[in-house]
Amino acid sequence: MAVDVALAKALEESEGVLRIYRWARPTLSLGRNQPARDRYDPSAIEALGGDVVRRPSGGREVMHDRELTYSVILPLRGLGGLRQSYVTLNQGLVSALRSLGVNARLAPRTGRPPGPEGGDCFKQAAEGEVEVDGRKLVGSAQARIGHALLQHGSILLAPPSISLESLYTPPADHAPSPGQVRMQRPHNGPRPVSFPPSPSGGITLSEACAGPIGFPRLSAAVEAAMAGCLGGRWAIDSLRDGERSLAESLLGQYRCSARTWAR
Amino acid sequence: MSEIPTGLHYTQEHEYLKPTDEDDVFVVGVTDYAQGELGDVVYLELPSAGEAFEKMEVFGTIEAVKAVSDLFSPISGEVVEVNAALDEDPALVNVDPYGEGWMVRIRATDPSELDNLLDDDGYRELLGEK
Repeated sequence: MAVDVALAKALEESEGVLRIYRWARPTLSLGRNQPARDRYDPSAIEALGGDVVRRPSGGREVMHDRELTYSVILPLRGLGGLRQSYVTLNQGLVSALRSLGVNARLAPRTGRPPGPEGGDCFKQAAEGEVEVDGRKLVGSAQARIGHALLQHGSILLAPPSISLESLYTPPADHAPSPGQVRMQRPHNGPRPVSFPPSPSGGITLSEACAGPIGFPRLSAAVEAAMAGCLGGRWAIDSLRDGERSLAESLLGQYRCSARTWAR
Repeated sequence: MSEIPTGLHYTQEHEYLKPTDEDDVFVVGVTDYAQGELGDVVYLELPSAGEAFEKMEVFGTIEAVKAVSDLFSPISGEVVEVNAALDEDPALVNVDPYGEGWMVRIRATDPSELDNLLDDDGYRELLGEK
């Protein structure tokens, strides 16, 4: 998160950045305004080797595990404003997924979207988000940071090893036991004929493709499609000194437990 | 084309400042263009009455289905009233940004700062709608 924000704060007028990454540990990311203190049990997350971070963007919770996270950072009006950039970037993601044989499309409007208290990000696709057969495949959110636009999101490759439900704070009259914390281990036996459905109501890429697609292949598809939809000249680059030092200065903020659980 | 009423003051960050009957007290909200860009507003974090802000200081956040954005105070002053109706119905910002979707009333401490804000023509030009 700190790197995403640093890239936005340091963005130069004529530049754009596409960043593709995955997380060192299963990590629950919370929306900027999402109430979480009474919903999740920090000790359960820690016990499972997971981590928690609060995003600079809005929306609901995402479990980053067995997934690809993308971030796009652009000048605020580089694609004509927030609304148009959302459409353009999500169309880029649709192109990437279609190049892998996934029948992805932008979700139509189906009524007023839920607020930040609404639960799992993948439960319901809002207008313009990427879905397959009515089930959300990409969870995305935007933040305006100074004169930059940050859009980042998660594409689930397979069901996360830690379910969101297993992290919920138990009711006060119902003390947890270790057996109630559920962790799905990677499947080591013969390949199953069908992949388990995403527990959230969304859909994973493995399910949408009826077969596994790895991070490198998805990453290459997203990179190619985004470069195509955004145009311009692209170069592979690492963090510049100024971006790195800015990210380091922001790390404390994103690691601060009091801030993460402030609401 | 978005609605840009005359007689209001505008910022480059798409907030407006609307004069009231009371001297040096202004209504603050986001413009019709801003609400259209953000999409369905689902949450607002606003200050309490009595809090003071410098010009362009962040006084709250607005979350829509597509984006989160800070809200910047167009002028230095003290918040004298907050629109409590937005707690229950943040969509008022989409439905009526210059009316029922107002956010706070601020008593300006330095009205000369108005000189640095845009009028409706200037804001229209900023949006490229002129």
